[in-house]
Amino acid sequence: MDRLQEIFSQILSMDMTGSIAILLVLGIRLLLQKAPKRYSYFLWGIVWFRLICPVTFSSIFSVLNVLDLSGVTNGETAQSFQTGQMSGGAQEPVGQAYKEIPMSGLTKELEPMPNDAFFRQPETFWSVIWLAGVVVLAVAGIVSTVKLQRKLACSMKLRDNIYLADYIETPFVFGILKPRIYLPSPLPLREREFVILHEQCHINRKDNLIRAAAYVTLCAHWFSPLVWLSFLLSGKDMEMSCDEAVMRNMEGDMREEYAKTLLRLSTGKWRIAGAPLAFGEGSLKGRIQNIMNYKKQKAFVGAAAGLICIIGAVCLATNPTPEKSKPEKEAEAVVRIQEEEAPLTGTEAAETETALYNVSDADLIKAAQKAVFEHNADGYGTEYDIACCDFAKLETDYGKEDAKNGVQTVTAYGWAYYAQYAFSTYGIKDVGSSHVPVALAFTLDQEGYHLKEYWQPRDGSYFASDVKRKFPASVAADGLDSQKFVLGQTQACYKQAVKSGELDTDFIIENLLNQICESLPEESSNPQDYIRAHDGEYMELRNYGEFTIQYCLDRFYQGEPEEKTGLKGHIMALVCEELLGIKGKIPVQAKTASTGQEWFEAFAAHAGNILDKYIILEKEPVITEIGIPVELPPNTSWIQKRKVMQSDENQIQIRYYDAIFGGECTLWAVKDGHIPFPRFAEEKEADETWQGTAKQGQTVYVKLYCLEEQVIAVWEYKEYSFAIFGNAAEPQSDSSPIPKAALYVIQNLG
Amino acid sequence: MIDTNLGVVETRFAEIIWKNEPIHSRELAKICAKELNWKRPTAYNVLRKLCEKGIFQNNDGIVSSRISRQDFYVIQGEQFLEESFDGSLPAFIAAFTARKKLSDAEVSEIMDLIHKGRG
Repeated sequence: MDRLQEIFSQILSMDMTGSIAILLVLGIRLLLQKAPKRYSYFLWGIVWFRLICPVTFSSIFSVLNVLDLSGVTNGETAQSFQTGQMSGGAQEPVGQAYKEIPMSGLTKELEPMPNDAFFRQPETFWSVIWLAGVVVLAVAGIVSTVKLQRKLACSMKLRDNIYLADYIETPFVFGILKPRIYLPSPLPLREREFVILHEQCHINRKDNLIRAAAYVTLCAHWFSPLVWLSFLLSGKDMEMSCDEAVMRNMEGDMREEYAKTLLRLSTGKWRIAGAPLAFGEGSLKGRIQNIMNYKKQKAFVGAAAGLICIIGAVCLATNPTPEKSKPEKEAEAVVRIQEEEAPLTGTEAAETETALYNVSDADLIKAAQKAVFEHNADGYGTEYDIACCDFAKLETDYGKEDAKNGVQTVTAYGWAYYAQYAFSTYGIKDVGSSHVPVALAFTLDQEGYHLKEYWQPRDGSYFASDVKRKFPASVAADGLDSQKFVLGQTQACYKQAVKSGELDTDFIIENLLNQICESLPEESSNPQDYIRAHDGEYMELRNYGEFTIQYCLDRFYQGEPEEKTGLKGHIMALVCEELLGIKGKIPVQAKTASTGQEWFEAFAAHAGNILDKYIILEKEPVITEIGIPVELPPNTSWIQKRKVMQSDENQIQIRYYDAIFGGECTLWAVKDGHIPFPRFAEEKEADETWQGTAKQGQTVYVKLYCLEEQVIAVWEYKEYSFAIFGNAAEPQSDSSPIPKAALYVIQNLG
Repeated sequence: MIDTNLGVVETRFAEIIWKNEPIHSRELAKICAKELNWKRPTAYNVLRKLCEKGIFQNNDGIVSSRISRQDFYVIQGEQFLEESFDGSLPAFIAAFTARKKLSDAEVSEIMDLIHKGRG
């Protein structure tokens, strides 16, 4: 039954596009009235192609572009190729750590289908009627063919493939594989030749096959009057174009003779034969007129007509181009890596003006969330501590404005996520949830939003088609992409739950991590194996979103070394990378890093701006014992593990790790003395010289020496000598962090 | 009432029967297969039709005619006269001779026939 409906809906869509093509061809035919009929016949071929062939080519020249029917062809066609789409709510949410209660209870509140869907939605009833029509026509065709065949059995061979038969009214071609020409037996000799030429033309052009195919198409489109019309008209064009072919191949002007033949044929006293599949019909008057008007054409007429045909063919035969995908966001510079953008979840307050009201996005989303909440309230009949919901809006539709009453209709399309949670010491337990695409129609007046309609798609095979029909074309695909939104919405709900239940997320997350790190039956050193074995816990980690990120980054920044380099560190790195959405955006991948710590350091170096959101770095105390303030850049993520080795009135030594440079560095400041650095440096010329400005405006020059794994920056200020020694693990290409740090120090020298 | 309205092909078939009668229907079918390329059921079907028209008859498989070839064409001629010349033979002859003069030999032949017919 679904299959039947799919086929029927496909036929319907082909009928719609085909009808447009038919109308166009009718128009072109008027243009080509004076031209030979074979061009129109060619165009009809395209029409039949459209009516029967679901696969076509896309082209920007398609006439359907103008009429913006891309949704029709792509949507309808694609729909029939979809199999078993997920039903309304029976999807497994990504963060399934606990058993989920099936969704059928949700359908109790389904809205009745809107009326205009009657024609757009091929319900079972219409599909069956259609099928009945097809069967009737097919049977009629078969029956008449068989009857005709019997009549033609007792025919007499004249020559080659030409036969004489007693009870046929007009000459025609019969037979698919071995087409034969049948002439009415009383046909006088004189007329025979013309007729044979005409029928032979049909055979050469494979008209017998084309006509049979056209009839099959007619069977499928029996409900469409335009298709019937084109069947009849194309038949006429077929006849007339063969008349023309005969004229073309004859010497001299045989039009009068031919016309007389046609006349004589029509006035013979023969019994009625007639079957739809054997042609030979065609209005006589039309044919005679056409023949008399026919002139062996001038070349340019033919060329012009041919050109019109080709243009028409391209326009008709091709589909409109599918909607262009929105241009990708421009790639950000490496340092400012953006976190992945979440869909609107009520935090962004865009405002739009309609004639009546300022429709604020935030208010609309709030109203939507309220609607979702009320709609689902206690839908599961289970014990729970809190119910949360989230609405991810895909599109807003501003409907009618009723200025008189001050009412505006607004429809919001998006994903509704509703969940009921129970709390335990170990965290949140999902005791019932749903994730459904919905269309919420509101009326907005002075008092606010009032929900008018809460629309959900039906279950089962109707799900996808319902969404496709209801949602605007631009977001219909998103409306079916549950995976895209479910994690973000789950996280939003968890956040609500955590806040309301005042949960200790650190404790919960720590527990989850510990569970994941439990030893496996088979020892493994691959963290992925542990994740796979505890994927429920891993999903829960993801659900806690920001809280998980915060916890992990805290641990990386300040935790024990074993934590950061062990299995736990690895898992934390993996989950952070995934949640932050920076996979592939920094040089080190959590999957391939040797330890979680390694990943973290790369992350800190290249995406420091993100890290700063989570970790507030303490301000380093400024060292002033030596007499002037010596300060390394504070609040940076790449200067880590600062340790003051020595600090007195003559000397300062601070050791730190520079993540961008990739190595241990030491800042020296010595009063009235020299800094002990390698002798060779004294003899060498500086590789670079940097210029810095001190607090009171003095210019200070920094000499930079780059020697393989070591980079040294030296400068002097007043009576002080400064140096920064940087020792990298490998030869560095970028030595600039050292002088940059130097400049900062200089900046603060007062 | 004998129906002598036969199509060209049927007439051909009838000629075969007149030429070979009396003939077993199986034989007849064989001849038709050879001359007309007909399958057996086709031959039987057409035979049945002509029997219904009263021209031939099929007794236990033996096919024979009920009216002779000559009589058949005479009846056809009578029908033609009826339809086209109101049944008037003189009218026909008048029309015929208007286009084509009768030769002397033909005139004598006709005079003989008239005398025989009268007497």
